[in-house]
Amino acid sequence: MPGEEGVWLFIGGDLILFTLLFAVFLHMRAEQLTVFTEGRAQLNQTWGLINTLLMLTSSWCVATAIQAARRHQVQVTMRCFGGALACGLGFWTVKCFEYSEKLSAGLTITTNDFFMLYFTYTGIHLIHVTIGMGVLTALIFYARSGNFDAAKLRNLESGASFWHLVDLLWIVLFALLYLVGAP
Amino acid sequence: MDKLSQYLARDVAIAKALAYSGVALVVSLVIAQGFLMGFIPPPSPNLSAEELAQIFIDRKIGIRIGTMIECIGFTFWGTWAISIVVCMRRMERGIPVLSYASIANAGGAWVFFLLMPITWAMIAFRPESMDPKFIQIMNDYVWFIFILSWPPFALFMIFIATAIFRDHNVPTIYPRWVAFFNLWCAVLITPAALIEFVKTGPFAYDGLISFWFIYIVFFGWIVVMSMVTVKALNRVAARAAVTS
Repeated sequence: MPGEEGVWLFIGGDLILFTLLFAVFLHMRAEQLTVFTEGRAQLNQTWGLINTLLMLTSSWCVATAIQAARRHQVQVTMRCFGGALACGLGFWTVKCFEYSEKLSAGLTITTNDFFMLYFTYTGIHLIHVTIGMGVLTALIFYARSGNFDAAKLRNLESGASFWHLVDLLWIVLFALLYLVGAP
Repeated sequence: MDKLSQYLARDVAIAKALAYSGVALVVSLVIAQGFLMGFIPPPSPNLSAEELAQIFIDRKIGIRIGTMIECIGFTFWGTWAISIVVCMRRMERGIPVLSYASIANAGGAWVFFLLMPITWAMIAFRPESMDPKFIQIMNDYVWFIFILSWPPFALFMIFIATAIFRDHNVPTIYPRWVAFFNLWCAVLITPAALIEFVKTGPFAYDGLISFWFIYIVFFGWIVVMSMVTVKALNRVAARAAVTS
């Protein structure tokens, strides 16, 4: 298992929260099908797709960084973590555009239950992205000195596993918010 | 056993009592707020002022007794938190930054805890003659204090995690999973911020996430930390006995 056990406790715990959030979404969707279908149609799938691609790319960068660290390639490791960080920044930027587009169209957290869940869920996820970007920044500085021994590799893997969680959660959110019920 | 480790054994016994006081806090919460006041879960933020006022009129005796017990129970926040800080102090070398920051944090958080039952007690003092609109504002105020005050508590969790990660003892005083558990709790209580925006649904202050989930995580955190702190203190005592 990559990383230390504790980080998996954290990841498992976070998945419990999101499983609950996803169940709440599906339950409320079943009760107000028209509101949720109309709400989904008002989302911009292009923004969602760009962010999905950014998340997938960032995960690839992080995985490559770990591979490079195992081969003791300090520069490649740092650059790949940097690439993932840039994807995170891109994700934030796209979200800012997306939120401002929604808000200027008069769609807010109080519009209806679909948009309440849309804003809260993507907001909670964005907190995760922000924490993950902090982790990635720490990993870049941590990798700078090289000397990738077993303990250091394990710590790098712990951080990388968290970023993969951020990616995984977005994939499910994207499917749930932007795609479920799409024609 | 020499004199020094005898003293230490007594200190550890006091610290363990403080750690167990966290369990007392949670038990008193369930009895007072759950059974006596009937505020687990909270009355819906969507109720009209008159409906809410009627609740306080109907339950005023239960609320008075309940808040009395809760004032005592919530006092244990401070004692419980210090039992953890005592362990944190032994993890830190050099300047005990995290320990000091945690003491300040725990002391500040105490005020929020006690304000809740005190405010409820005030509403139940003369609910018949009070304007229902005023009761509504005061009741909202209690739940906002309870839930919206999450950041300093999350910060305390992060302080605990950081101290464990930096612990120089071999083996560490707390097991390392405790650090991740604290980080996890810190992330999980963040949706509390959302109660400002909604009056119904899972993120309202009586909702599935903002109330039930956060409540269970937060008070579950107190119980878990009580248990692991008692064990950690036992190890501190055992280690001192060996080295002396």
